[in-house]
Amino acid sequence: MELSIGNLNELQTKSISAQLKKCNEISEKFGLSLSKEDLELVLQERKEVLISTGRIEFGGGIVEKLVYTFCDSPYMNQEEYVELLIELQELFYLFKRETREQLTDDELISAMRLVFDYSGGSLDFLMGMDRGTLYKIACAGSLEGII
Amino acid sequence: MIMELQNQLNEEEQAFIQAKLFKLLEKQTKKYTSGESSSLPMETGQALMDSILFTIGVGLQGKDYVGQIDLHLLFTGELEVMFTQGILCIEKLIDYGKVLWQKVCEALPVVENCSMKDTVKSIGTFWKNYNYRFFAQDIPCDIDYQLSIPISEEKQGILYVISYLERLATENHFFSYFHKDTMVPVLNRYCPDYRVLLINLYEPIVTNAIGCGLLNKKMDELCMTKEEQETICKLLEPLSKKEIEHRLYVAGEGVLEQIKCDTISDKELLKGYVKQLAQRIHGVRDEGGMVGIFL
Repeated sequence: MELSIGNLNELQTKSISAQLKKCNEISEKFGLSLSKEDLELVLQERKEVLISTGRIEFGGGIVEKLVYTFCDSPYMNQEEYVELLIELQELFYLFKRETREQLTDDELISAMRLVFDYSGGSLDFLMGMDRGTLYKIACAGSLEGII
Repeated sequence: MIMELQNQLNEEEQAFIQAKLFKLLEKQTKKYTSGESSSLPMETGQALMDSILFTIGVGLQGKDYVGQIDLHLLFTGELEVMFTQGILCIEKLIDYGKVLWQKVCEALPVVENCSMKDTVKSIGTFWKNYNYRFFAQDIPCDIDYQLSIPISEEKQGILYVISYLERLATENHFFSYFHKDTMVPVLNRYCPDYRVLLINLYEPIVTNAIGCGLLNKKMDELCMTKEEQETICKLLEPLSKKEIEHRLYVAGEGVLEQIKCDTISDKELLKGYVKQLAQRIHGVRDEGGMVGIFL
């Protein structure tokens, strides 16, 4: 019997329709919504990024938190919504690893949102951000005196 | 790992066990991250899973667990209950280990060895650093001093440390029957830097004591003369490996009785050591002599 946890990410049990409902419930107020196919695509990308960043995750992942945190950003729009979510999700797991597990999910997502808005919605800026600076922003919960 | 009986379970049953284990892993992960991170590095997750299996194994088999769990028990049992029992069992083992460690500290041999001292000191940090609730299979201390018979690599966490301490205590118990001045010349012949090098002290002392037993020689002088070494050679030369082992054990047992160091653990250690020694003697005898064995 294979007792490796390598296939754990394949065994997510959270229902997609429940997740979809939760995601759209708030984001629709800001003109953003996901179709079932969109969410399936985001979740498929999640599996791949978990593998590439060498992580495992329980539950439905971070997508709900990303939607809640970013949906009221002035730099989110419906045309690029799915693409942005996929990229933010990828950056989240990457940062999680590169900040050496020192930040909670909420701290990291909030810091990403602050930097995202500061840069006018530039994912390149967020990606290129020095990890130490990102860590400081996450701990402070603010950009003040850091950027 | 828990491969035993795997062929007696079909794929569905195996998947059922895996799902149960993953559920427990999820719970452990939440505790580990304090619910503040939904993901974690694969290696951390694997370590948490290894700890779950180790803990369940200790709960089921106590000190005897060496990585084999009956999968049927995992299939039918309540894993959370089994896990909790394992934690309780580990806690008792920790208490036992601390007492054992204290005894080892109080009974260090009169002959010095830095690596033994450092190892015993480092095991003192184990009790503080052992995170048995999440990583029970880990051994967070430096164990460098080599025992005459190494502890099986299959032993993990507290089980390894306890086995190590038990064997070290038995080895050191043997020294307590000898005067320092009797042991030092043997150790000097074995390795003049015995105080600082990573060598085992029991090996040369017990070997020479067995040699004394073979020669019916008093043990107030453990060192062998050239003639005595030759006599032992002649005595063992015509024997098969099994016969050598028997001869050495009988001589060793006599030694233990003579010095009244004959508890079950003393005899078990002797038995294991004599097996190794017989193999070594048998090997070198065919290579042309027993130089460097009885010193």
